[in-house]
Amino acid sequence: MKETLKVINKLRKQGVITDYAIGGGIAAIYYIEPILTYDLDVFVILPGVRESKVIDMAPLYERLQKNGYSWQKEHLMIEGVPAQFIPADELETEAIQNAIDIDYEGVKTRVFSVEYLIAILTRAGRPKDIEKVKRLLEQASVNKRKLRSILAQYGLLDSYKKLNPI
Amino acid sequence: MKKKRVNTDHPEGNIDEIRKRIFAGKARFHSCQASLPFPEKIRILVKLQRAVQRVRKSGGFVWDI
Repeated sequence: MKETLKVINKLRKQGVITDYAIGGGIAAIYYIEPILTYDLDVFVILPGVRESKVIDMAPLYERLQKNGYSWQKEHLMIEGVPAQFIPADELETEAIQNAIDIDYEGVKTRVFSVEYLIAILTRAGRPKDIEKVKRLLEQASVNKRKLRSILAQYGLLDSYKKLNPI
Repeated sequence: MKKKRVNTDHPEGNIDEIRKRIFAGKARFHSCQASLPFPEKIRILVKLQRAVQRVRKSGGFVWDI
């Protein structure tokens, strides 16, 4: 994964992506005990996306393919890891802007903070997302005030309360 | 004569107390796993992927890292 992260950092340095943060199962694993997952979800802010709602993933895909990384179903295989690049919406953009910097075997990377991760998983709402939310609440150190504020801002308080009735 | 092994974590006693101790032990284990360094967790993830691939015989994917 170290090499995969180096490739993603290079994309940011080259301006192919403006910023990024890791989300999904791998971000959850950062906070909780290891769970089975297969892909690396990379949430990205693309250049020029603030001005327009139209996005173009082609420059990102072309750069990776030019560097020899190929598609395997819906993933781009980067140094042995199936990665999925997800253009960030409003909540995810804010999550990227508030992501935490971590060090992975000497490589700097960014991971969603636990509060934003819970909000994004709550919104997704699939059984596997709900399971992750429950584990995050049990095993991670969550700033409840911050979480409540994010959930309220994005109209997710009711969904969250349904998941955690007690 | 073989000595009978006694689990000192779960001695005889009140059922509620023993259950409480067992579940506290489980919680400790999970929280210990959760506090492992991230690279160690990724190594465990790859082992999990490998184990699933062996069981499923076909399909599944193991990170090549």
